[in-house]
Amino acid sequence: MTFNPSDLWAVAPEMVVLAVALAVILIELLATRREGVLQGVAAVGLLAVMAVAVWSLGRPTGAFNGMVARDGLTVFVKLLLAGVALLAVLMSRDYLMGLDKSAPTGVREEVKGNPPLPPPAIAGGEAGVRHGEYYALLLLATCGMMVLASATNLVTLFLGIETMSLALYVLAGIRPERPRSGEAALKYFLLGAFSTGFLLYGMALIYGTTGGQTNLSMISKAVADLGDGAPVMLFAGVGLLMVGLLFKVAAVPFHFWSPDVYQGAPTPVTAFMSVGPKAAALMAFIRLFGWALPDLADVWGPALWMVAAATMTIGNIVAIAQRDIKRMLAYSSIAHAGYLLIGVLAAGSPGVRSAATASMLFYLVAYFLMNIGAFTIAILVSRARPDGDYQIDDYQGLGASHPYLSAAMALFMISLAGIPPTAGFFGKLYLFSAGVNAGLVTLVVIAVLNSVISVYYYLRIVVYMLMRPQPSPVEVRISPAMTAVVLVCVVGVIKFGVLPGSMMDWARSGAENMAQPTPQVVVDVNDPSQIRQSDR
Amino acid sequence: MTVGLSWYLWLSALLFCIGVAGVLTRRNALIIFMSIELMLNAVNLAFISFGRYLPNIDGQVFVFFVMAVAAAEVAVGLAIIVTIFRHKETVDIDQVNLMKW
Repeated sequence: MTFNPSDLWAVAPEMVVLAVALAVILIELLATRREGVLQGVAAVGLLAVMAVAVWSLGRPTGAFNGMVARDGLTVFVKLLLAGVALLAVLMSRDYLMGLDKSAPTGVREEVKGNPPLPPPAIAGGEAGVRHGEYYALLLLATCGMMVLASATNLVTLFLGIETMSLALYVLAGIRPERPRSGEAALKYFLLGAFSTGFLLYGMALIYGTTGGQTNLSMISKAVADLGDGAPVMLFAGVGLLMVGLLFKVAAVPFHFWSPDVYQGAPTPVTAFMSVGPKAAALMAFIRLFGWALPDLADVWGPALWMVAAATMTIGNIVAIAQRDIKRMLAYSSIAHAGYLLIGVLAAGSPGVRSAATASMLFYLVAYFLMNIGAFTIAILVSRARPDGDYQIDDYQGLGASHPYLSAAMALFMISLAGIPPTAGFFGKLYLFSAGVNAGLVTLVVIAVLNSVISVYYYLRIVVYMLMRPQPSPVEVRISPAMTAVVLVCVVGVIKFGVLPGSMMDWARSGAENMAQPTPQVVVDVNDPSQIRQSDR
Repeated sequence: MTVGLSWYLWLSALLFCIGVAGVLTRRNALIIFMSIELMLNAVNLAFISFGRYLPNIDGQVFVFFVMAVAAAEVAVGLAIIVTIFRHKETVDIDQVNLMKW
């Protein structure tokens, strides 16, 4: 066990994210509290992260004695995560500034009996959110996701999940003056910590039954050696671990937290949460189930099959009934998690593993662009309302007064529904064909039927925008940063919807460049000479 | 009669189930939080006893990480509960219901 300096390349993007997060906090504390500066530092920092991630690409290998992977797959996902964070940072400033101006203290509801306590005092006597803190938390969550997406050991997997979650719990509740935000944070926190318990218990049982392995490749080997003699405790461990991860991707029946949290959290955070943690947790899924536990596929396969079918069906059907656009997008994101689980299942069969992984990567890119775009427009429209609400009725007649904005929203909705020529269509096409190649025909049929259901509620927004008269005139103001975010999303959705080849090639090379697990050097605790050697 | 690995594992499973039952039945956010900590400590017991009997040092290392993360979780969680209390003057999760579950 020696320290190899080139291992630092594997975590270079994480180190840069951390440095930027600390820099943002220190700048706010010591230098300036100008929002533009803080946002600029965070945005430029994330561009630097992307550059470092590309630079760190090398021969696929493990690093730090098999704790994390350094390969094309991780670089691809880290670029995606940095991109999600970048767009979230760009859309945050206007949102937060809007809060500072309209300081919605009047929204605080009365508490029966007792008069409400005074709002929490913030140093400097200002209402609202501290921007530096906010960007730092966003960056720290990104760092956790990057660790999670590259983890090849149960310890790093756990630390990645927790780093991500702890930052997200705070972000969900970052608007203390708004009761819904605090409620979202409480629900997210309690259910998240609860699911962490299951995840850890699963890890403990796997650790025990595989003879003390935490490294994924060693677990894989130990499971293969056990063969048919695998103890029930191992199956229980795999099941509990699956529950913990399914909670993070908000799959049915572990989805109850997500609509409330998505509705209550600040909208840029919701946009960030609906893509980032999902992408990172699905990569952990691929590594854990596709790579380390394919031998147990007939145990976890049927369970995941049912979860995937239930997730997409319930997500789509409940989304129809929603009147709040954030809640509708929350249920739609549950449905999309269901589609993505097809990729995980397909990755369990060795022949189509890299094709399935590549299709998931493409789908995540497409979902990232269309979902962030939709949330950005939701922010813009809600800010045009005096109470800042997110009703679907607000979109009535928007096509006449704001044609470009409505065209962009219509594009995102069409893409989310999976209608060509958009990125969402090719995402579904690649994902479903990987599913068919893996023999999951029934599940793919269920997914296609679900896509048809989803057309109803996505196109309802388009119909509202184009065919309903406007009840009262709204004035949507769009800042340069918001325009940039919407433009990036529009261009991406069209580009990958017309010419998906280049992105699919990148995804494929990323998936094929996946590191084979590196075995860990085993230290026998009963042999003192070995321990001393390893310390040197 | 010797106290073997399975004794510790049964104790850990029992503690974990008590924690789960506490989370599901109690309505006070602090008690729920306490039950979650009980679950985490049940996990720690399982890790340590596996590590002792295998024998393998990784279990104990893992427990250090779990404890560190649990401490961070306490800091964040109590802060969130305090925020809720400032608004509602209660930490009963049935009263925290602006949005339907």
